[in-house]
Amino acid sequence: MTLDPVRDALVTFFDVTGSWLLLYFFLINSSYLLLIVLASVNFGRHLRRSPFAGTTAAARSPLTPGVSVLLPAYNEANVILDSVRSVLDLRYPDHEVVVVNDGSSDATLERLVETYGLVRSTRGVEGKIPVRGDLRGVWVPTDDSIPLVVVDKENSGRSDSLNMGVNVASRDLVVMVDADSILDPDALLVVSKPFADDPQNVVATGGVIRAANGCRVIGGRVVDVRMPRSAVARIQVVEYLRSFLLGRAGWSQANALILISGAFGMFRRDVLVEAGGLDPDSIGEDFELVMRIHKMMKDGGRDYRVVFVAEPVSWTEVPDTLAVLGRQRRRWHRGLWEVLWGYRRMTFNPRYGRIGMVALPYYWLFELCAPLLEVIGVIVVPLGLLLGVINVPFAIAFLLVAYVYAFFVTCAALLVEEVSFHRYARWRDLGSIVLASVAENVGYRQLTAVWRLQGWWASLTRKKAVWGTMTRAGFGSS
Amino acid sequence: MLVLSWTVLVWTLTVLCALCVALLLATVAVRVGRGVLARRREALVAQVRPLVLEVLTAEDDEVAPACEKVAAVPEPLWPTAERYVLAAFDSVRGEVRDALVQVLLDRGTLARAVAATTARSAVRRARAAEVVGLVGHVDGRRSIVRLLSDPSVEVRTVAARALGQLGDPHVAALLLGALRPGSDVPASIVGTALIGIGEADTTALEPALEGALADRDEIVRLTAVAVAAELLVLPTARYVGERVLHDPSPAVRVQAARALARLGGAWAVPTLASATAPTEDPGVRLAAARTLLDMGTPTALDHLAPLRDDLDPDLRRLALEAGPTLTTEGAGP
Amino acid sequence: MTQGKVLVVDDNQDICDLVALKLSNAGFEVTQANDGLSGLELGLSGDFDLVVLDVMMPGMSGIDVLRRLRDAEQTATTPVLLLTAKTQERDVETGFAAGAGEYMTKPFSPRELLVRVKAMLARRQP
Repeated sequence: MTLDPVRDALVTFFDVTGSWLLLYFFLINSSYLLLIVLASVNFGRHLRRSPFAGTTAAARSPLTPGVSVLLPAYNEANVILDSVRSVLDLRYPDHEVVVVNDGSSDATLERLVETYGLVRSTRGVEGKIPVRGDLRGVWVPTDDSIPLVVVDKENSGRSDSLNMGVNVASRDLVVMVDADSILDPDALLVVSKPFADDPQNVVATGGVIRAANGCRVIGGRVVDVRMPRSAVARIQVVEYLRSFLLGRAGWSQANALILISGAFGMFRRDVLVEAGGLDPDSIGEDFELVMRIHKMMKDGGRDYRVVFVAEPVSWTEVPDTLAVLGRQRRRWHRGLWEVLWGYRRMTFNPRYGRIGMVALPYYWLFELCAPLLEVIGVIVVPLGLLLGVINVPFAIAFLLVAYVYAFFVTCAALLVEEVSFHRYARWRDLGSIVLASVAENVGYRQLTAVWRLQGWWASLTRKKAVWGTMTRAGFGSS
Repeated sequence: MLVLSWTVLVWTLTVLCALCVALLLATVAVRVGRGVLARRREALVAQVRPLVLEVLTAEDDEVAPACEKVAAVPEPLWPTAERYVLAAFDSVRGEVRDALVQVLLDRGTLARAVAATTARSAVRRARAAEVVGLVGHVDGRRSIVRLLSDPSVEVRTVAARALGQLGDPHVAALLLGALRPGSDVPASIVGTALIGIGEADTTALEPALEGALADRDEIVRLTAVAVAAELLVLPTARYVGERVLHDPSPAVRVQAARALARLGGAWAVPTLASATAPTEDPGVRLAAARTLLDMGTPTALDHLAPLRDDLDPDLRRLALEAGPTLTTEGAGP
Repeated sequence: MTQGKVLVVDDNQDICDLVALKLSNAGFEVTQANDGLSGLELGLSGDFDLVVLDVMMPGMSGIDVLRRLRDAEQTATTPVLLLTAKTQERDVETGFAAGAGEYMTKPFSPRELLVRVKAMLARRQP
């Protein structure tokens, strides 16, 4: 029979790795559960403190550090005015907006010049971070009470533009947003609070990003939180909830936070400059930056903290078609691989503390390799069952640890969200989140696993990266 | 091949599914419970609200009778009334607030809060401190001061903030003392509290500030400089200027250089210029250069000119911003 | 005879009620809104003589609402009184730049608020 060699191969496979496969999925889901427990502690503390938090007071204190908001823009003529205005109007005692026009071919710059009465400034953009793109000009408003600077340069990419922005930035803290970022009015207050509370040690913070799809957005503000209409986007809401909200908070609680989401991270400018800014050649540039900062601080034996602020502060449009989603996930996983590989010497290196000994190995095993094992599992288990290589109990066990347990973890996440932030107020939305959580395990996960493998493969075979049309929002798997 | 017991599996599957359902039901229960609690609370508040609003919107001779009605609220409803009144204090001031403070005092709110500052639970102590701060009566001061050395950092933080609300300049030294290493109270909280006190009476704050500017601890000096700048405590200006060059901590020197943007005058320019010397810490140089730029006087800007050829690109950029209209030696087009 | 139509926008229901009551006691016809969006919608359609606007609101802040009111022809010159927590140079600047007529900080005196509202209406200043 032609299936015999396949059968034999499968028999050997399951003999050797059967129980390991089950163990893997048991461990990965248990780790998520642990992170959720850690996150609950983090939230519990945060919510208990919240009435006493004194955010209003922070808005007033001269010790609240100034923030430079960097906004790289490439062909954003349609949204740039709303975007700039909504960032200028953020509640904060002292912030400036640095728009970096990345050689737009549309009217982005013109619209800004016209609306704000911009005139050329003698201000240079020279700074400590090397920049590739050539400067074309710096513009400031005639009304100098408007804290806006527009840097016009030739096109050289988002990272390079942001680096130029960092050079020009005049405040102590820097935050990087995109032209389609939607920020809560108090976003800067919330995300800068750890810096105000502990100015010596905190070097970077990150806030929670939520999916804007389906929400009502007016003038760059979310005025009504709703679940998205498309199923693809709904499942991502669940993902974001689990991985951003809980994964990050859990890691932050364990003092081992590696990632700060690309669309809303705040850094101390001097640390950012010292680390050298973003790497324009890196695909996972935000992840890479935070890793570089970790390495730099640990190498220097310096005390520091990277803090996750458990409040939702920023919203982003997530891909609502499979095509765009696929491109995003391929790119994310490719970035993940390249950074993990690039910093492999930190892995299992006691010199790098919990980052090296816990977080990085975890990412290697449970973030990087997860799609591989998932795809293997999805292929060989049904195949094994079909060919009689494995028995039904094993198949059920697999189903259990890989999918039912995962659903359980998601239910726990939903409960924590309900107790803490309960942002989706409608019963209908709660219902659709639950349904989306089920749907996630039936097809969506498997798809993203395939995409992630494709991204990984593309990097290994050195294919050129495709950026696609979606703005990056950060990393994280399900 | 791994052999798994049928029964174990089926059991695990059932239990897991049951747990999932339980979690989902718990989620629903939390949501429903929140709604029920909110409605119950609202029912109570609805009885109290009109009375308190009547006081808050009363004019002159309407105030006293309206207060009597609040004072006469029966015991079961009083906690709700008290909470509502305290919440209003965040937003309201003036004689109507003072009248309500008296109602609270007569009803024992302050006494209870002071007693609660020795509660076992940190959350209760923190809440007690908050209440004392809101009531704003000097009788609560001592208990709050005690809480500045509370074992819980949250309580210390709330106590610092409450002291700021009490507005007594005599506690300024104590507040600054709360910044000692190991205390964890954020400097921004203490700073804000001091500013709150200082806004009411800046001169009374001066002695404490002057003492703090010479303190051993870096963070205390830092906070004092920032507060002095914010409140424009001019008598401290020269000393702040001296800190720019002579303080051992670069962070304090940076803050002092920034403070001179508000506190300094023509006399400060030479100090700032010295602070841009190449031997100085880069952060300090940058802060001093920026202050010179902000000052904008010809003398100040002149001192930026030599920085055009500096090794530090940030300084070169600032010098450039000063404009091409300077008379400088060897400055090209 | 009503003194005028006033819109009060504050996400804190109690403050909203307080201001509304104070003003209606003084003879004004008051409409309330609890969030930026409904405040904006009411403001654009309602033909008010004055708007009391809280700055610190989630979703759409008072400044956001103010800007949009000023962008619209029918409310471009409507007097607006901004309420905010504590003086803050920046808020004041942004507020006035966005077109506020006056500015009051919390904690505020209800009596003083009434005086200001009357004065603003008397001056008919935007």
